Order: sequence, then C-alpha cells, then structure tokens
Amino acid sequence: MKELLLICLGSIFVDNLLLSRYLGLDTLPDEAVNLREVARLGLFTTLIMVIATPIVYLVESLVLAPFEIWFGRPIVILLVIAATVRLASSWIRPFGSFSVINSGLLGLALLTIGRGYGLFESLVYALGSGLGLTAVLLVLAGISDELRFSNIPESFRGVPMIFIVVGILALCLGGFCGMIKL
Amino acid sequence: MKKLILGLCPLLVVATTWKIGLLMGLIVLVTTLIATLIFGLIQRYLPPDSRRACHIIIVGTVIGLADLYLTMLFAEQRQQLGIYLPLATVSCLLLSVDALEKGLGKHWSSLIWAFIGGGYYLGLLGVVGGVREIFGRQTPLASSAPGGFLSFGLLLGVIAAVSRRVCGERTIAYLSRLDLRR
Repeated sequence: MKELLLICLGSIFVDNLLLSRYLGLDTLPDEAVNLREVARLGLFTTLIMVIATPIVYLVESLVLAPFEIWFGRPIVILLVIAATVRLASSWIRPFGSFSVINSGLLGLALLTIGRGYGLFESLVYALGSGLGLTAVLLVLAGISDELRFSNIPESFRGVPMIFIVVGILALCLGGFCGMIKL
Repeated sequence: MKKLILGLCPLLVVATTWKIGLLMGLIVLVTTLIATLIFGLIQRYLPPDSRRACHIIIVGTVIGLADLYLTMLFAEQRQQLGIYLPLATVSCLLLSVDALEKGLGKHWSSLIWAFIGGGYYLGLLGVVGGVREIFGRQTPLASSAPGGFLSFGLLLGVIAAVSRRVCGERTIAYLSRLDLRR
C-alpha cells in the first residue's frame, strides 16, 4: 500500500511527466481557452491513460514479451490508445484539440513497460502521471493567460515563451528531485 | 504550426550533444520521408475510416525498422536514445499528416513538405544539442531537464528575431514554418 502511494506521489511531484520527461506538451490546446476547459482536457487525458496503460501492460506481458516483438511496441501501443480514445469519446463529448497522436500517452506506456511495473502499479502510476500533467497544464494555462497583458519582445511571443515558462516551472519542481526514488 | 513545434518536445531530451541531436533529427527526417511516400501511394485505396490506423501502422513499422538497423549498426548510440526512439513515432506522424495536408494530394508536393518539416526538426535538434553541449561544460543546468526547455525557448526566440530582421515579415509568412505565433 505504501509503495503504491509513493509511486503516485512520486509521479506527480518528483518524476513529473511533462517537467522531467518532456512528454505531453502537445496536449496543450492551440488557442486560449478557459481554465475549466483545460482541466477537462487534462482529466480526459488522465482517463485515457488510466484505461490504456493496464491494457498495454496486459498486451505486453501476454503477447509482445513472450514472442519478443519489441520493435512492434509503438504500433501496438498507439493502436490501443486510438481504440481507447474512440471508446471513451462515445461516453464523453470529445475535445476539439485532443489528438490521438499524443506523446504523453505513448511515452507513459513505454515508461511503464521500461520500469517493469505490475498491473496495479502501472494503474497507479498512470493515475499519478495524468494528475501531474493536468496540474502542470492548468498552471501553464493560467500563466499564459496572464502573459497576454505583459510586454514580451515581439519575437518571443507564442511558442518560445511557452518553453521558457515550462523551463522555469521545471526548475521550481527540481526542488523535489531525489525525494522519492522511483 | 504550434502543434508541430510542441511535437518536437520529447526529442529534446536526448539532444544533449550535437551528434545525438543530429542523429535523432536524421532518423525523423528519413522516417517521415519514407512513411509519407508509402502512405501517399496507397492512400486512395484505403477506406476513409481506417486511414489514420493505417498511417499509424506504416509510421510505426518504419520506426521499428530504424530501431532494428540502429541496434545492429550503432548499438552504443541506440542505448543513449532509450525510449525516445519509439517516441519519434509521434513526431513523424505529426509531420507526415501535416505534409499530406499541405501537399493537397500531389505526391511530389507532399514529399517536399515532408522534407521541409524533417529538415526543420533536424536543424533545430542539431543546434539545440550544440548549444546544450557548449553551455553544459560551464554549468550542469544546461544539460539537465529545465535547461533543455530554457535553451530551446531562447533559441526559438533568437531564430525568430534574426529571421524577422534578415528576411522581413513577408518571407516569414511565406515560409510559414517560422511563424510561431499561429
């Protein structure tokens, strides 16, 4: 139980998907939307992660690992994710800016496989990573909302500013580095 | 446009020296070209519903082949790339979809767009790798996770400033690859 809690907390604060692994920045919506929409987008991504990662674990341990098809992993993972998104979109209204081609979802599944987690561990890890990603996206959306009124040099507006803000956020979270060994 | 730059993000992790950055960029360029060529040729024979899935399978297969070749020929560099080589699938898919959209159904046109996109990634990854290598000798920050974001953001800003000064607004709009605000 304690291990699961540590994995969850560690994946939110210490080994954040976006800030220390560079994954999932393309979940960020294209145009400025309000915070509620960003939170819904993040939670939708979390839901997809929580459903897809255990399925990927099962496929990996039952099919891919016994037959040593390691080079086919990205295809299988992407297809599982695409199927999950299609399934989830039938219950929940899909988002305009949500794309199946998302580095966060694929990267999380690959990381889970690489760490050799079990079924419950991968579920908890997916939940923690999704919540961490949602939190960072919310902070990022809030900051870029404020940045619209500040005087940024013309060339740095838009994407360069996003990267600089994310870099500073990553520096802030660097304080947690090494607190929990994952 | 913004999506394309954000899709480059996961590849930044490995770009800590110019050699690895160029290698990663080269893989993306070649993979995108091959995948766009194959998918462009068979696209019209596929039913519209399964096009995206076929695209994923083709790009994933080409990346898997690249993985096999790298493991065979450059095992040491393959170790350094880690899980980020399978993650290049996402970037290649983004570039390939974008190239096919921009090519408007003409083979040569979409191939040229794929070349432009892949070359853009190649150049950016190489330069970011070089910058992080040079500054990483002075301070460990540049080669860590926050440093990657910061140096990439600053680099994009500088590139936008220089190109605005040298080429003027019209050229940037024509290239449309350098207009980061959209």
